[in-house]
Amino acid sequence: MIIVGFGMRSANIPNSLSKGVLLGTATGAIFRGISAKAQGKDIWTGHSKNSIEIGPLTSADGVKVDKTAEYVEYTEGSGYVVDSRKYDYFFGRVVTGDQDNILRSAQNLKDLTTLGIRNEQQLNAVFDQAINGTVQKTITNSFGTTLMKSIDIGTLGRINVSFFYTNGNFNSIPKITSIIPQIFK
Amino acid sequence: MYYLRLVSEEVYLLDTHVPELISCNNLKQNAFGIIESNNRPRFKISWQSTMMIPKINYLSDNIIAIGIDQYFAVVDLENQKELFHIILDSFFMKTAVYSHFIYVVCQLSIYKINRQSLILNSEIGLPDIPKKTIINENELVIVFEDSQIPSLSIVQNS
Repeated sequence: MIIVGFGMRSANIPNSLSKGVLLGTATGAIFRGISAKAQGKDIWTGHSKNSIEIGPLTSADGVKVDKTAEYVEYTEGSGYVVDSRKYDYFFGRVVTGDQDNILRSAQNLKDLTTLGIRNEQQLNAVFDQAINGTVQKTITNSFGTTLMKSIDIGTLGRINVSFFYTNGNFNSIPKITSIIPQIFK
Repeated sequence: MYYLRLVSEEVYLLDTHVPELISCNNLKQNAFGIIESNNRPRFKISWQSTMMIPKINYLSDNIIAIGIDQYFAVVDLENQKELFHIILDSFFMKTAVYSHFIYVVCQLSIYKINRQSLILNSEIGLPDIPKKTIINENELVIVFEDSQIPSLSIVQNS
């Protein structure tokens, strides 16, 4: 078995950032260095016009924003990032590529609708709760660590949300990689 | 020869003599099917997703693997026995069958199962949902959406 090594994560910061989805901390710990010029061991590094770089987490001294760069809004207290392509996947907008993903994307839309979740804002509210939820499963690999957390949606069902921590660094801001909607009987 | 016959819930419930593969507990089941071989019903199975149907892989005479949603099993059709099953942590995507191992590719893990003993050998964690799974003769390749994540290659030793 060959697993190729894993380098620095890189992704365009999603449009969702500008909708106030993205960054922050659940515990009130402060992150610093939201800067297009952030140095050090970045967690995510964006390169597009609407992207930002996220610096390493520290325990104090507030949020710094480089006003010279084009920035997006963020919501403190969320504490996760979501790639915009994930919203396509969650809301049935994947229509090309692997057939499994096309069908699962459509199924996600159906299941989320059944659970009363019809837009990104409502799903983000679920993520906001899920990040503080109980860990159901931990998956570790050479890339990092995924924590699966679960949140009940009233009596209708449950959504398992996966938070991926690059290099297993739990001080970093996790990326949401998957959801598993479950509808109760 | 085997096949999966999709049926209504009413038909499914009527077939009480057919052993049931339990794909999910406490979850609403929206789709129903009966696995048949030699014109006889062997198992019935229900699942939650309505957009997809179970994937079945032939393993050997009368032995098949079946996966749907968060369920994967290996069953003996002739003797109507479930030989192996596992509740998956993330959604099932594909099964890759090689001479020594069965790989169950899910959204965030690959389960490696010894084909002979049907014992779970290991679980390989994935950093993200695969964009594409390529099942070659001697190699299983997992490609991710993020081009910065290198593809995962699992080479089979003959």
